[in-house]
Amino acid sequence: MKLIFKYLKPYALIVVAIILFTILQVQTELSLPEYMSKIVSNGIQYGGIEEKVPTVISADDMNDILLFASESDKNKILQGFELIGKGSTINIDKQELILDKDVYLYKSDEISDLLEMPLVYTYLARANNISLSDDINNIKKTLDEKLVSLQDNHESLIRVFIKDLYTNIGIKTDNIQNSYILRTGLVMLLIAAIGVVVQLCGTYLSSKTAAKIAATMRKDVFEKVESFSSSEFSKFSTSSLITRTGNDVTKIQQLIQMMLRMMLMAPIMGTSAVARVLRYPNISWLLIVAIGIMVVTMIVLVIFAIPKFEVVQKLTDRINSIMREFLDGMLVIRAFNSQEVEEEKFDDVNSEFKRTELFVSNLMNIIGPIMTFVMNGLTVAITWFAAKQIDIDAMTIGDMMAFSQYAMHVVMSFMFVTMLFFMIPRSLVSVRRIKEILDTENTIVDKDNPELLPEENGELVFDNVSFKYPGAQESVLENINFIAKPGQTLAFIGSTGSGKSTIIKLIPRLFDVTSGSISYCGKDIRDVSQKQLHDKIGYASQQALLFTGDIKSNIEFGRELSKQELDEAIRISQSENIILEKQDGINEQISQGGTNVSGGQKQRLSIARALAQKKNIYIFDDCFSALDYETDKKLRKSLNELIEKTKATVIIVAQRIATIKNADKIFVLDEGKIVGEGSHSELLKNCDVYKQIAYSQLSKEELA
Amino acid sequence: MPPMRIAEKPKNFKTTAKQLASYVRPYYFKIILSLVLMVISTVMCIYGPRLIGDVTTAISNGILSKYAGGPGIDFKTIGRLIIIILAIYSVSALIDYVVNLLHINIAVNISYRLRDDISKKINRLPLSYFDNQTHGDVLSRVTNDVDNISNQLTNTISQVLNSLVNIVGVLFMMFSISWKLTLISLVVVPLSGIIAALTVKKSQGYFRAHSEQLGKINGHIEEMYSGHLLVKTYNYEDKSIERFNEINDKLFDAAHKSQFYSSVMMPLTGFLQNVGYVAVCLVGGFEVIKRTMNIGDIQAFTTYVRRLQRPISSIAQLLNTIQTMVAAAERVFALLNETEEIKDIENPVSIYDDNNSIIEGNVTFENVKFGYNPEKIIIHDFSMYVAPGKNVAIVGPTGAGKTTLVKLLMRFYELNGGAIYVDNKKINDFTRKDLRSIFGMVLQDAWLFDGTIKENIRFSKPDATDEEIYEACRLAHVDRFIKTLENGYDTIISEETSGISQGQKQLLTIARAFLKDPKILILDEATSSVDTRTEQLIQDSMDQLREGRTAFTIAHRLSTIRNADIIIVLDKGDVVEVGNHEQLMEKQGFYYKLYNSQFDL
Repeated sequence: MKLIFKYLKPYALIVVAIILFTILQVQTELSLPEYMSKIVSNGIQYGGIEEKVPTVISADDMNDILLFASESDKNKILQGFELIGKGSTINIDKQELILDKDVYLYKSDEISDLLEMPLVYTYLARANNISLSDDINNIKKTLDEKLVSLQDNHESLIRVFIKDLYTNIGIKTDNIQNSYILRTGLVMLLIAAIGVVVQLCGTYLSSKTAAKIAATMRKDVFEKVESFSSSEFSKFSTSSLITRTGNDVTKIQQLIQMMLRMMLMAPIMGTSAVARVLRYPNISWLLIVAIGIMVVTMIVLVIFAIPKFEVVQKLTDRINSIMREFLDGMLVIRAFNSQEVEEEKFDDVNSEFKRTELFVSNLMNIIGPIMTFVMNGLTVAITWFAAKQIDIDAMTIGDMMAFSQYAMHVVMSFMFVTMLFFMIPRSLVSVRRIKEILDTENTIVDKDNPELLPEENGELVFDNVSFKYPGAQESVLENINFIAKPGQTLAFIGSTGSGKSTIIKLIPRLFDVTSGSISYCGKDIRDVSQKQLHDKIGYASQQALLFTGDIKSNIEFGRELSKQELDEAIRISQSENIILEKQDGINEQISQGGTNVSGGQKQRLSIARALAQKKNIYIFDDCFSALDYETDKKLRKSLNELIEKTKATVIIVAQRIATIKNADKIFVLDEGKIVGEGSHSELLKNCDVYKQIAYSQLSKEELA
Repeated sequence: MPPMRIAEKPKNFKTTAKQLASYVRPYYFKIILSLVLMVISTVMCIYGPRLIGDVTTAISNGILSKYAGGPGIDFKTIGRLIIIILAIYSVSALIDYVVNLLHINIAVNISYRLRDDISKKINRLPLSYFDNQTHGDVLSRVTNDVDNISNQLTNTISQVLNSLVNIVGVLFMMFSISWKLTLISLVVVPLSGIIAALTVKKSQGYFRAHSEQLGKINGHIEEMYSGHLLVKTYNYEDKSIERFNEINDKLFDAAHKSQFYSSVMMPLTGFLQNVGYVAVCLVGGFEVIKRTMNIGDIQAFTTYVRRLQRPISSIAQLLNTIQTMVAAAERVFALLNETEEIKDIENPVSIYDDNNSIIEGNVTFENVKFGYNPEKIIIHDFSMYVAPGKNVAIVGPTGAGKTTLVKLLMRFYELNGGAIYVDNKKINDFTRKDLRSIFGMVLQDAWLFDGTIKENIRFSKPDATDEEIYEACRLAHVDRFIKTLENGYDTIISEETSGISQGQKQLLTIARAFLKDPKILILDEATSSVDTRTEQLIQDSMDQLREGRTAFTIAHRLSTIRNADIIIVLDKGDVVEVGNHEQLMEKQGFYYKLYNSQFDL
């Protein structure tokens, strides 16, 4: 997690911007229900009337209303209004109105409290068809009984009455309603539009940041791995490094994207929605119940399902491996007539897979319907309990609608948070795997002031070299001593695991010796720069690797080669007919992994690569094995001519005696030790291991 | 996260869909049942908002009537409505569960059957099919493609239907509330459909670019890491990083754009939804004044408008999923529809002769003509008689097609002309099973399966007793080694098993051949990667195995070649010379050259 923050740090400002955008987005998203609720309750239910006091009252209505006011109030109320005579024109809610009766126009704010009860009484009296000519106190008493159930909230009732009062004067209340809805609607759309813009900005920034961080991280990892020596490579294994640089970084990109959107969003949304929900404390407990049910269901199911998920994964692997067995062993299976046995075996696993998958899927299947039901149920429950609140005028219908939307937001946020709890630990595995790479110290580094190697070839000396792989118990090589002089060909032979390839890898310093030393031209190879050392060496690896590109780029491999150098390398490595054979010649594309060339061709091309520049030392790590004897022979012949000319040192590892028979010196390795050295004929005489190898390849007479 | 993949287009949608349908057929009843249930549940769910709208109206009317001195909100009516709604929701939740149950059942069963069919199919396909197929490709059909089909198949069927029922049902409810409002909101729907289609189209391009660059960068990483030795020794790091950065920059560009564009759709359609909402409220408010509508109707209506959006935008996505699924199905069916091996002959001859004793083991090749590709014949006209108990060596440079003859002999491939006889009976007149039971085979690449050593050896003779297995292992010189293992014969061999070398594995396959005790042997000698001592053991046991049997040995060792009764020399797939060592040396032909090239420089 720390690592992610480290990478996020340069983007701190952008992250702050994203947070701001998210907050804005949440606020706009949450204020929308409010406007929706206004449209429904103020706009539709109450005809767009917002005011608590009528702006204008006809003289007749005013008379009725004043009946319910005390004498002193009456005067105060009337002072708050201005009487306007019949025939004049007034402007109400953008409507020009020629009056056909006398009206009172509202002007002062102080009287709204005084007017409240008279308005309520008048409305109720009219609604109940009570004649106002009766004794006013009796009327009040009757109406008071009705008022009990309304408690102290008269706002909605007054608004309904104001609408009536306006209608009486001839104001077009429909227009008021329409303009109210339109006005509120436009504000709502404006806010929604801001929300969209803000959301898009946030998404843009977060996806860009996530992708950028992933790109940087991928680059860092790649550069780090490229700087690794072979010991670090063997510590991690190549395939693991590949998945880490590829897959794991992609997973982290998704994690960051998720963090920047949902992880920021869920808590902001959750708390803001909760804040709004709490405005209606009487019914907010419903939410706690709903969330409780959801979280408990999810946890219970996950607890039951997770172990089974692992079983499913194992069975998938098993299906895969049996299928692979089918394919790899096809010849053998058919030759031994055991198709049916294999099919039965497959069926066993396949059936078990079916059973387990059914169980898990059916279990997880419960989640969907339960969640839907809880959400729907919550809406219904809110309606019921809100109705009780509306009944006592503590809430409006619009409030109820807004509340259910807030509730949905809160519940969804909780769901997200719960999901994140399950998802994040999985992604953190990737973070840890990346961190391991970045934290690994490279064990083979150049000295600060490396010495320079001379131009000409010199002696390569192994002085009592021992080598142990990092972390291994036993040495791979023990006390290896030899000197390779310019112009000499040295060969190493031995069975698999004897350490012959390891010796060769020590020369270009792919590993450092554990004890002893290797020197070249009189200088310890640890004292010169790796770059310069590598420049002296032409290396053909055991595994003939070709890269995406054409034949030419594979031989060049990043170097600028003259036509002559190229041709020479192709000639010596016997690659001419490969190129002749191909349609595009030297520009023939090599497919990934080099699948369009044979094993022998690959080896020849990788040898061409090693020979393509004048080098002082050529190393051939068992790279003649796929060549037929004829080609092997020709290649060695032209190689010898080259060495004659350049006085280069050649070091060959091989399995085939024929390949090394004519080397100047042959070293026989067994279990990491040199058990024999000398020429072919010398070794045949005095080295048992060499003899064994030779006999297994050639019959006695032929060796003589 | 949106799925990071692009839809592949199936080549032949109709045929594949038809074949897919044949897999669904056994479940028609279940599917129809589930569809009926789903329609019921959807209709019920669609009715829900209408009822909630009625509740709202009841509350609104109640409160207004209360001001008018009426009785107020009628909680009895509301309560009744709410109980009905809750009942509807619980029944539909239950139905949803049952529907899912049915679908999962169908999906899991179909994928079981597909895998089963593939596994059986593989054993009936001619070997030549696999010459052009990588194992990885076949494997990904068994796992990825089958998974894809089973996950999507029932899902898409139910989703398509669900969307359709929803659209029709919701539209019906909307019209029943107000045709005017419906028409107004329908203006918005195609707009958001267009937005959805546009963004999907736009982001597809970036997704394609993204997966392309991702493939490139993974390819580069894989190459550079696997070739790390070379990268180091050729000072190639800088070049490699340079190339990496190039791809990485492009990847970054595609990654953030695809991510961004895929998340553009939701906010935009959401905004349109709000426009629709305001429009509905405006017009609806007017209707309420005219008393042609209730406030609850408007609430219900707005819910419906929102509900209409989901199926419409999901259909755009669904089309993508269906394409991917059918493309996956196409790959699976391509395998399943592949031509199988020619059926065994109807009245096969027996491998036993009249005296009920098994074949003696002579082999005749008569004018054999063969090519892996009929247009490229590699064996033109090969005839030879091998007497029982003779030792045949097959030699030639790498890639000369040494295993071809052997494969023909066991009828892994069909001839293009001529015939092969075993005991003077055409091999095509036997059943394959009988024919192959005559042979024992040891391949260079020792094939063992996950299981114990004992199981692996018993493989060649399922009814063998333990004693027979021990005996076979003794003959193959591997008995002592097995006993040094901690669990002896019960040691489990798997990919991770260490401590058993390649050479020892080969000894185990030799033991397998001993156990079978075949009349005719096919041996492929190991070339490399085996330490000297084990190599000696292998050679000894192979020699012993050859004794008294007709043997075809793919030879790499001179000792084998020299002692062979007949040597078949191959070059570039064709038989160039046949004879024994002396004859061939005298000829001074290809064999002579090949033989001598091994010794001189």
